[in-house]
Amino acid sequence: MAWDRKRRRGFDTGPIGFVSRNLLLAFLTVVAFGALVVSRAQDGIFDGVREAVTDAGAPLMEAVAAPAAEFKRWNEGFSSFFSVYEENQRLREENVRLRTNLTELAELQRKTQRYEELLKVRPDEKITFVAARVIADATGPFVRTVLVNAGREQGLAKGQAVIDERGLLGRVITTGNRSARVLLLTDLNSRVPVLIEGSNLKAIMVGDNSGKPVLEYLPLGSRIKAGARIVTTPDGGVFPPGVAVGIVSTSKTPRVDLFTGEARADFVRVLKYTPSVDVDNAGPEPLPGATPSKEGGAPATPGTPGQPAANAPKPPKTTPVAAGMRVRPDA
Amino acid sequence: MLEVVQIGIYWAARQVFYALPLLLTLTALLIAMAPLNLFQGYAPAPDIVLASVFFWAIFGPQFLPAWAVFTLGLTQDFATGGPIGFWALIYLLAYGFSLSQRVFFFGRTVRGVWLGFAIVALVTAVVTWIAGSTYFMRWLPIGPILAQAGVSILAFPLVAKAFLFMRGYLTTAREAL
Repeated sequence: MAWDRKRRRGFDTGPIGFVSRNLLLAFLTVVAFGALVVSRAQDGIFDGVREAVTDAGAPLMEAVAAPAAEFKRWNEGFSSFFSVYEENQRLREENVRLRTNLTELAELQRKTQRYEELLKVRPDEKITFVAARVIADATGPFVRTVLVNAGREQGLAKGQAVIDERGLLGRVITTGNRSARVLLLTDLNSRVPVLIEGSNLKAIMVGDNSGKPVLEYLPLGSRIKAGARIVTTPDGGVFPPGVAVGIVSTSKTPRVDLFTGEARADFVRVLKYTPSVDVDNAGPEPLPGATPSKEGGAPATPGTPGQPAANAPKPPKTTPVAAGMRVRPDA
Repeated sequence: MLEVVQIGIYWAARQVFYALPLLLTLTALLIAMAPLNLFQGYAPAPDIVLASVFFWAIFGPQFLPAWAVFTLGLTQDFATGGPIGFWALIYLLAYGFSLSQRVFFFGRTVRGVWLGFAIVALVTAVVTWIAGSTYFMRWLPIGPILAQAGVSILAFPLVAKAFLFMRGYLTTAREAL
């Protein structure tokens, strides 16, 4: 009776009535919102669960990816069928050009080796790699990641650089036992220290979910040429030096045309690179002639050894890159 | 004893049968994540989960209840590597909104329902953009989100046709079971 009276008065209509009829929906909405707040407040709190879920789902994704790869190959074969003559001509010309380049390259390699021997240059760290297959392309409106079918068991670790045959693709952000997630360069959480060849300027390449990442932290007043090649730098100890990234775009703001573009490769290589210097624990280089402090760390210039000099010049307010900014591997 | 086993099998079969919309949407979600790269990454994939959530909220919420929508959202959160709870929240809000407008949409023509989905997809895109920008504490580019909403709107009639076929089967098979 009471229920009938309430209905007549309109208690079962409106937002309150809707919620009271859909209590599970309301409860789950609150749970989802709570999970979102917690994941925002404590970064990486769900990483363990995520890795376990990704690992569990990896065989399924691999099963889906296998016919998808076959379909992709078939689709590519079909679309190239009509341009096979032009493609053949282009490849012939490219082959001739590459043969010439190869001879020049061998000559340059010999020269470089000779100069390095003369200058007693310390050889670069040897970089090994793990080949892996892309099993899922989880690219959404604001997340740009891919899943690969190699994980901790294959020696993958957080922060390792991932490349394909064209250049740098991204870096590993989470690793399961048999799978890993790669954050692409275009993702808005991606930060990569890069070097602009020719001008020798350093910058941080920042993803913003568009196809072309932005170059930030460039020195004030610096000029960069459109078309200049961009490679990685070992600053921060995450990426090996000299991995091809892209070229400076012709747009107004300094952006990068990535060599990898928007299309994904089927197979990638995860680089196992360990910098020769532990960048997180290494102190600054001692100045020539300066007395090392007792702690063995900071160089002591005019003041007392081991203590910062009161009249020591402040570091110039140039850019974080110039001041030795480090990129957080989990940024 | 045999009867109990028989009843158990029937019960399990019935549960799987009524979970078909959820299973089909989950399968579509996994296939959408396969590295096909059909348009070289320039065209986004349609949001099949949103189309499914809208369709079943209007034409059969009993076949895709709130917990199923939550499962779909959470699966997408885990699969994409995005913040946990994000897509679960977005889809639950879209489901709630569609459910509240069920009386209005039910029995409309195909174009009427399509228009309804277009409105829901655009509102969801704006809510996603605001929620994403708030979460990441910076203004995200709205272009990719709107582009995905546009592709989803275009793909909706095709998705709805498949679900309509399934709905007819589910509703008529209820008596059979």
